[in-house]
Amino acid sequence: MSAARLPPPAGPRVDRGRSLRFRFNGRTLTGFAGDTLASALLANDIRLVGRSFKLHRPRGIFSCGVEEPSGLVDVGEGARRTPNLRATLVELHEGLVAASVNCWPSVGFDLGAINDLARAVIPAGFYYKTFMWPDWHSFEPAIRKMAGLGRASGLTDPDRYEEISASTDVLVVGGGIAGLTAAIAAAEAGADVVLLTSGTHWGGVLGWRGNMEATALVARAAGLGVRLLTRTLAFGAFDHHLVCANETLAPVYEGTRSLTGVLRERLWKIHARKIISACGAFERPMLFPGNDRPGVMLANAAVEYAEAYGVACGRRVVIAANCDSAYATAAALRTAGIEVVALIDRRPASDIGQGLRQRAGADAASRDFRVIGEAAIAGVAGRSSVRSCTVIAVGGQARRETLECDLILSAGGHAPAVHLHSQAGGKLRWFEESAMFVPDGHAAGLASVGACAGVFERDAAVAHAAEVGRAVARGAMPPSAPVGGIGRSLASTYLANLRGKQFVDLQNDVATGDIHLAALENYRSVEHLKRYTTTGMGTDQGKTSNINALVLMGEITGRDPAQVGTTKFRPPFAPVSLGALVGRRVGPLYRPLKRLPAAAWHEARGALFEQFGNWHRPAAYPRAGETLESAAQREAAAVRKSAGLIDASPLGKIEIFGRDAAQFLDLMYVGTMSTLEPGQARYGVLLNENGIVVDDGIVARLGERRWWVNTTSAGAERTAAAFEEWLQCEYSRLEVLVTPVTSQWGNVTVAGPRAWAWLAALGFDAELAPQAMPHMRLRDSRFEDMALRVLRASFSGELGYEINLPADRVESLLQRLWERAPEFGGVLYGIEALEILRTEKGYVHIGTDTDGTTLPGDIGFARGLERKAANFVGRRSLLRPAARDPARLQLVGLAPFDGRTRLAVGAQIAPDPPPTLTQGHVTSSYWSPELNAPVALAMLARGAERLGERVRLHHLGTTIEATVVKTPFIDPTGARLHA
Amino acid sequence: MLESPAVSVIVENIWHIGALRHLDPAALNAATLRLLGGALPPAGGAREAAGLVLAWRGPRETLILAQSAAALRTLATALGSAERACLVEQSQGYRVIRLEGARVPDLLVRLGSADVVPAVGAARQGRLAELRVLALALAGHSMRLIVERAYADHLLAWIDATVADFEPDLT
Repeated sequence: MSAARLPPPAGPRVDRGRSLRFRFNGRTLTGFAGDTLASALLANDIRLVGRSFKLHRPRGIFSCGVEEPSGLVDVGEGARRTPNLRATLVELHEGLVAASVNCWPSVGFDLGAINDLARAVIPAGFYYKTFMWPDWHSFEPAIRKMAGLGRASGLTDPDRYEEISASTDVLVVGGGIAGLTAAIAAAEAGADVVLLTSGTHWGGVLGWRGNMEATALVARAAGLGVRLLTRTLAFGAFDHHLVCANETLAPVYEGTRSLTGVLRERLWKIHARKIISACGAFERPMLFPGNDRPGVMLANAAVEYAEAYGVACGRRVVIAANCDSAYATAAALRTAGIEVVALIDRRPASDIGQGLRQRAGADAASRDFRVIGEAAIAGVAGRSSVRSCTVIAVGGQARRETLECDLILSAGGHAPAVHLHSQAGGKLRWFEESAMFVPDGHAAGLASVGACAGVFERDAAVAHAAEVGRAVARGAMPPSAPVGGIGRSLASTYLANLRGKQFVDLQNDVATGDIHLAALENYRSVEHLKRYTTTGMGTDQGKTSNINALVLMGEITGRDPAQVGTTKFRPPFAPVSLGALVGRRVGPLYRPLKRLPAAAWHEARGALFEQFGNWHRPAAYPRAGETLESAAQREAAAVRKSAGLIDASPLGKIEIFGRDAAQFLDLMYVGTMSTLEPGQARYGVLLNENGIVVDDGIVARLGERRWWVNTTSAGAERTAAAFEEWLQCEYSRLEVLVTPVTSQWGNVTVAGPRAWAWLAALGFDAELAPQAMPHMRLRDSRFEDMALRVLRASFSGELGYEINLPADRVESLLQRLWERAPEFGGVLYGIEALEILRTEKGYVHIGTDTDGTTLPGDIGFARGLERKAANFVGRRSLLRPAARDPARLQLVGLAPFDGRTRLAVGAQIAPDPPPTLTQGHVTSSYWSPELNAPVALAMLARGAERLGERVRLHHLGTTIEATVVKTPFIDPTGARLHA
Repeated sequence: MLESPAVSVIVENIWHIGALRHLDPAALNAATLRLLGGALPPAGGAREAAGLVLAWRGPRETLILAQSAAALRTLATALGSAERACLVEQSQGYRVIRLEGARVPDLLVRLGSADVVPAVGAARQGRLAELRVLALALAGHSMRLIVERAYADHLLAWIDATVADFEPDLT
């Protein structure tokens, strides 16, 4: 047993019979099962654990929980290395490997510590002032390299994470006595209850002292059916009583030998009718020069290490305090066998709680610790550990004393953990007596109990928690909290005019001088203070620094803490791993992708699949030696010359039914649909209420009340949803039913001058022949045993047949057509070839050539608008003068002046290279196999007026000239299309 | 098909599916109702009748699962030239996935919202595995998920990954 280990009964959390070996910074150490990494390091007398973020100052363990600002470590090796874990929360395990962060070459000798020598010239805000000239980006790479603490592994995480959803009547967050009591009371009142604790043990202080009351409460809760979850940290309260929590299932070092990984964490999304927050409170540190040294820590943490883990963080302790509770802390340490050299109380005698002062006096006598009143620590000796401290009198008394010690404890009062209350919309109030913000009543759907409600006296907390539990279970208003029980505390933890830095935020190296500077520069709002100084940022989110910072800002600017207020308590309460947030959404489950009904058939024919919208579909069918681009060129050329076959199943399909369907479609589309006869089809552009083009497609009439709508592939779901929204919210009087059928119907499209010959050879109905069925007609037909819905339309500009059929028959039809393809020079073609074909034809591709500003007039549909007398969605927006501005971007063709260079998509059109005002940009660009020249589409200001003009295009430092031309590039009369 | 001690997952290809769309249930004629074995299930309900499975999918939509195409054709014929209702063929539009076993509810809460878990006789719509899914239960420890055909592989892959991580003692 190390010298720092206290003898039993101290340390009920650790199993002294199970020794564990672990490595820290390459050194092999031992601890016990039940230890955290922090308790094990302290038991091994390791004081120097890490380096601070900006100044690289040596730092040690400061706390015993989630609020830890300094003891950050990288844990694990290889792909399982996880950065910036708080040593206070890492459970010790045989073989655990941990390393300090933000130091090189070692934590003991860190070259980055040179920053500390330069600290006078790098105060808060120096980034904003210093790196402005000549350009911030000149400094950015170096600063980015210096930023951050630990290092992520950079390898694929082999472990797994999952998400789980739960509903409950009452969710209790916090497994201390108050939380347990509230959960039991709610369960006894008949509620379904879930109880979470972030740690491994229940009962809070009682629990770590091995008190049987906590054990009995847990058993009682379990007996009542309360769902008990340990290692589950609630990190955010969101709308509609949703609480998100992260459950650690397997610590990072487990599964190291598992090739398939382990299920490591689980993200809980818990919808509760009512939430009870029992999250406890954090201790507030004192400010004094050298208060960041290893060997300075929170007083309550030292007690918990001693009592729960049997670890003495020091043997000779000085306590710096400004609150009554410090006296109980001193007494507890004495009971644990640790010498309390002195308790330095910043306060005048009048500020010390009367009853407590009397007790403390008695305690001081009986416990043999010295109290030095109206005094403060003015300096700490020792760099990587504490050797002594200097004590001075507060208020001008000429007293100066050096106290030999190896541990300085900081007891500056308490800050209730009001995070969930605040996230749920609850207000706070300043409780002057104990210098803390407490909930001002309950938040909507959330009640606070115990220390997080400001109730510190045990019996009062238990009684209040029980009442709240019963009330929320019954749906009654929970009683207000009897705030108090922690005695008196001084708001100020700071003493001016002392030599040396007094750190407010240990993680971000924010010192009192930085707060003064912020006030001087008028960053006096607490939100501005945070951004200017970075206090309260980082992994600890200011749990030990926020109150001190705002109190100090108040002192500087003559406001009390209530006037200064707090920053918004945003989720997450504590860092959540990206793995937990991502859950199963990795690899093939990254996002839902639709699979073609005949995907396997395409795979067998060498399809190169890519993601288009939410579909996984063939981009091309490269032959041996072909690239994607050369394959697409071959395929496009073949379609123009003979015929091609494309699986267009992703094309959006919607059935519209109802008495008012025609009227509804007139409202939805720019074109007039109601004049269509059954079997006729028409192209339409769909706008939103702002007149912006959001989709296009073909509308066909199947019968008197039945219609067939094709949308873009990516816009199918969006369009159906928009139809429903308009029907439900605006046109509810219309009798229309909208049924998406995209997955029901596959689509095989045959296009090219020999398309009909190919179909006819297979025996397709002669009524489908071009002479019998003109362009934009739709017929129901049959081929063998397949029921078909054939639309004569084309996105390639060639004679085209879009053959819709039940999805399970797509493969059969593809196969039947493919067998006869050689006779007609037929090819399979993918999306890349289709893009070439439609660009040659000048057809707009919504989302590629358009963006969130494009109006129909910009892409050549102004005439349709003027002709249409009936109202339609977006019409009013199109009547605004701005919509008719001739200077708008308009779709044009571009031909490179040299006739050879393919223009870059995204190239900016402007007379001069950037930075300059752009006149437009290239939206689509391909090499045309038909013209043996590049073709491009662009959105150009006043484009329609500029045909024949020579423009300059700039892209990544290169400039090229092109001529504005009219589209289409081929077949301007549509002879091929209407063949 | 996945067989695990906790959950078995079977893709059922036996169903012919129609979406019965109506502007209100009263729009259905007597012949249709007779074929359906009575009134449509109430909001959020599912039932089995006349050899059909009927599942509420919205105020104007009831999904009908039949084991023969003829049953759907008969229904379509019965609807005839109804002005305020129609049957839309969706046999290829959806996949039906049957889940059986004591851990089925545990599986569903890991795929999405707990609210999607249907009681017996209920049909619940919600987001599972990032997809819109209709879950219906006609018997205990047995549920059916109805998902758009093109997304079925994604849902099945998510189910496989989740079931593989089931611990035997998870509460």
